[in-house]
Amino acid sequence: MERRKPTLSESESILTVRDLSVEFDVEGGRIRAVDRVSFDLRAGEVLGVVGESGCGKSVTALSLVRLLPSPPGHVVGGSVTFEGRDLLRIPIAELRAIRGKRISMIFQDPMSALSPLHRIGDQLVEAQQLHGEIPTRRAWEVGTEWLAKVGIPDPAERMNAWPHELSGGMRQRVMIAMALMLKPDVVIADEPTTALDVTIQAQIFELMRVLKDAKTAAMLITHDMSAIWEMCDRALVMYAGQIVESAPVRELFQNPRHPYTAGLLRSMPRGPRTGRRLETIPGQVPSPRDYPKGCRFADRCPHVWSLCREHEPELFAVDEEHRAACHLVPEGRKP
Amino acid sequence: MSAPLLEVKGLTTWYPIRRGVWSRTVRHVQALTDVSLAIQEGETLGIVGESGCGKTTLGRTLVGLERPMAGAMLLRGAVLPAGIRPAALQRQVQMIFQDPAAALNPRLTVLDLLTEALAYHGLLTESREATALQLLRDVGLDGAALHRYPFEFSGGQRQRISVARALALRPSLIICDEAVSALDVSVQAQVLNLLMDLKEKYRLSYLFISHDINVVRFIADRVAVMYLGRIVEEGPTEDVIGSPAHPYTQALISAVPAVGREASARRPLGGELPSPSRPPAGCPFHPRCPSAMEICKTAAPPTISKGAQKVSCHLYSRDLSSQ
Repeated sequence: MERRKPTLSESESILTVRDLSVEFDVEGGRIRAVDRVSFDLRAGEVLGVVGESGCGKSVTALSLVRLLPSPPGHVVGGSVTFEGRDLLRIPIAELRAIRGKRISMIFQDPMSALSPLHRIGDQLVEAQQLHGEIPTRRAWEVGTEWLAKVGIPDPAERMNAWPHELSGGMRQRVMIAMALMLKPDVVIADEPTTALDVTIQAQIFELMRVLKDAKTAAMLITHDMSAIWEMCDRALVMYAGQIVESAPVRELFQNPRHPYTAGLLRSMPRGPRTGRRLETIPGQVPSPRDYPKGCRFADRCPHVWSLCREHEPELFAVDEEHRAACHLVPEGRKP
Repeated sequence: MSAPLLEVKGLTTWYPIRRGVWSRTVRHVQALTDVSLAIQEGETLGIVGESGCGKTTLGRTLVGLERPMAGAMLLRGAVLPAGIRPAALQRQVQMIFQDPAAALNPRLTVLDLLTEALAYHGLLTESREATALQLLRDVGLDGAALHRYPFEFSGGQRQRISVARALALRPSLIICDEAVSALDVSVQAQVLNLLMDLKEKYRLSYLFISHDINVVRFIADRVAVMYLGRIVEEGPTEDVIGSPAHPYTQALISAVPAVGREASARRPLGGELPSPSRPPAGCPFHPRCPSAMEICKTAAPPTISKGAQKVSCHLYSRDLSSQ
């Protein structure tokens, strides 16, 4: 796979997220799960969103298309602009016409996204007919073609199968076929391969590269840094509900500027055995019930100084494409 | 060389599939077929393979949770009697599971969890509190944990408690079944370091079962690769992962996303895992194997030594190379 440098014309944002904040009802109040998240998804790129459990990456993804169950979740601020319209504010009927057709989703667990009561073929037909007038016979053919495209053997036969008759890898392929079938402009994939074996994951990744040829923009949400390396052009790193770093993937891996990103990369076991211990990030993610006043990573950071505990760092520009929310950046220091 | 800590020969564990009013056995899920391996004192043996390859059944059989249909198990050279879980095995071999939330009884405090087994075996020498406290220190937790319940801890801390519980009986071998797979990277690194420290401190051996090859490469001295209930390749970790011999191992390793490598270096494996209740004839890997030959469809491959590696594949048969 070639890593493309985005040119100016490609850099236009297709999905523009500004200051997105999401809160959850909890016993005795509210916690903020996503805090003033801003980013652009550019046409034709694969944007990775990486972070550990509870960092807010999935909540961000669900909130973009208003799929976050509410209550307990509430989008309390920000905007998500797609073709000049704010998805967070348009009438739900208008959103439904966009969701599935123009912006589609792939989730970790395909069994919960497919209806167990309908055959695969019927679900593929229904998805098409929801978004346009197409004769059932034609829609059935299109569905069969897509099953073949995502590498399902005997697609004509599988159209008549029930979801439970397929393996996990097959079901995930059906989900991908369904997500791509209507040629969306944006695909949001939340841990699409986390439940799958590596050889199946490799097949799915190959498939998702088809997206690139189709000029579809994609967001890949994952906890797996190596998946980011393999699949993405750019990546956002999230920590405690905030974006702490954003950069083109190579730059992120070779020149991480936030101590959390650097720590994550160093704590991954990789390469030949050395017998040495892994580097770790000491401590734990702070509870959203009491985030510290300054930087949320301060208590775990090897570079912490007084400023970090006083002032929350903004996303400082390292260069045009690379930003990190760390007070080391203006000082010209690296973690 | 002295006898290995634990050795198994020809271990076979099949689960019957019963059908009909008389519950006749129609087929078997062939979870483990003719598995032989040895774990030396102080050694970590990694077991890798994909879902359904039998790696969990192997762990459960070794710890005595499954009864094998055939095969012998030897502990320090002494044959273990077949049948229910022998007491010797109970104390010598302990297990850590993937999901500590499910493995730890939610209604017991940490104190009870850590001392229950010792009390059962009549091995409590000090007070329960003192014993539990020592175990907690071993895994990097403090006494504040003693009277709390599992739900009060994070995933990483719960896995530390599982490790402490496994240590309580001073076992020689701990079977770690996907023990760090559910943990976030930064927490995973902490638990892996802990396992390495404990191994040195108590001269433990581990059977480390994982689907994550990067993790196994980090922790294991030797590694065995399983496919459809059989070991297809085994050897020193760097040999097997650095220069895999079996076509399945090659495909498996090339499928692992690796930072720094281009995706084009991949050799994606086609097809899907066949059902372990109907494994293909001959070599079980032949329908997906890029190097399959006629003989692979009919004859089970022999196990061949290739340097320090052992590989079950017709490609390395001597009579083939002489042709």
